[in-house]
Amino acid sequence: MPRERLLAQTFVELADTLVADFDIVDFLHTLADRCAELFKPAEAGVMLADQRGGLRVVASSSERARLLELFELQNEQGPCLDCFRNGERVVAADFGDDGARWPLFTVEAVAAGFRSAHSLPLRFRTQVIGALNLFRPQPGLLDDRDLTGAQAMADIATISILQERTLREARVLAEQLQRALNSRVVIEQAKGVLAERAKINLDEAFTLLRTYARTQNRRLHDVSTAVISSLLTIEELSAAAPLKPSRSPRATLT
Amino acid sequence: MDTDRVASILVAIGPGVGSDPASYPERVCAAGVELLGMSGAGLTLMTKTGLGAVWASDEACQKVEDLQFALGEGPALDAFRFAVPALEPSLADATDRWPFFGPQALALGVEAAFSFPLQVGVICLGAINLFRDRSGFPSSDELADALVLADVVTEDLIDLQAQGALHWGPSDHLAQRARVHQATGMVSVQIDSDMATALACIRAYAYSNDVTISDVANKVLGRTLRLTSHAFE
Repeated sequence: MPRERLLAQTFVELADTLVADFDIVDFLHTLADRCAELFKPAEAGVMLADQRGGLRVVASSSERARLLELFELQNEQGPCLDCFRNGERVVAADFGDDGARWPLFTVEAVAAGFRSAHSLPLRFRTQVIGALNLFRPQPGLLDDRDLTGAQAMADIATISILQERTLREARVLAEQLQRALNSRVVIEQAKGVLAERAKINLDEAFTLLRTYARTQNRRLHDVSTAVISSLLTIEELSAAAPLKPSRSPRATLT
Repeated sequence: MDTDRVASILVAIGPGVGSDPASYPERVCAAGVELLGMSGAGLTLMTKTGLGAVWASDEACQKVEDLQFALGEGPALDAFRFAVPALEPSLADATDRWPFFGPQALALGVEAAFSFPLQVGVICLGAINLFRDRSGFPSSDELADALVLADVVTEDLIDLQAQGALHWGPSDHLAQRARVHQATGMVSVQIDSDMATALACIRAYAYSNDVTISDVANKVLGRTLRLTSHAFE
């Protein structure tokens, strides 16, 4: 799909988030997938402030990108954290040259097959509420046009979290962030349940949950809850969403 | 996770729930008042079918807590039902939010109310409720303290459920450990339990084998450890 259409499509989906049963984690996953496609070859991830002084990974376009982001948080170093802390875009054109800046992170990133990163802040007025991270397998910087597009995606993420711009925005921000973070935990619990029941890996479990939610037009959060409370069986999930773990064209990156 | 913040909250609560369970709820309420500069704090434990128990930092606050359950509305009930913090910086300006609770709480001197669910994913045990005699949204620092307090109390209560597992230190705080949540899901299938029991089992296993919770989670996810009843023998 041409870039302009992809961006337009993402804005249309953003409009869908205004309806009552919108699922923020699912939307942020779509956004990460879109970024991976827009800036390909690339993987993308979204981190949100946990309002306890830290960041948490909420969505990613691949398990590989997610693990790298988790590694970054665990070791408290890397471009996404710097971006969050300073509220400014952070670029790393070549991890080969960044050993001094982030010694642990760069080794892990290169081992995961990445060579460069762009981190864009999710900014709301003076607050930074998260970061959008792009990891690419080759060195180099995005050009200005791409960077504008990437920042637009980061802004879409911010807007999706903060739809209600009223006097109550501090309350809405706190509620939305906490809702998203806990929703992410529910999904992790459901992934574990599925992995054990169906003897599949966690990545496959997530694909199953998400594909089912998509095809049945249900919220990812609700599907996860239904799996946990045994209201949805593995057979029902598989029937609607056949397991095809290597369906994604980006899987060829690894 | 800010380990200094976790540490200061653990210090404010005092001994872990395992070493002195009887005074634990009072100490949590006191920590909420002192650490966060609130005028009152309450702890409510709930089950899906109804209220479990309520504690409060003082008698006035107990009245506010009782009011919520007598009227069937209020921040604690909302936090539990909707699984998100229920934050009301001005009860006077939000008379439509809790039409019965609001005016009566105001009459008892409460201007602002902030309730935080005690939750980890689908596990929700109740709420911690903070009340203030002046209106205004909590500062980001106060908000962070309140969220961490709720995290710590949630873990303590899960440990209490594991029976005898002592308090786990701040170094292994579970709040952002996706792998622990995934392992909890797997263990819930292995032992055919709800999520809270599964998490309690993981924590108890870690404690009794002197390893970290992350180690247990990694083994469960790597399928080298299955937590069945005989895993504890």
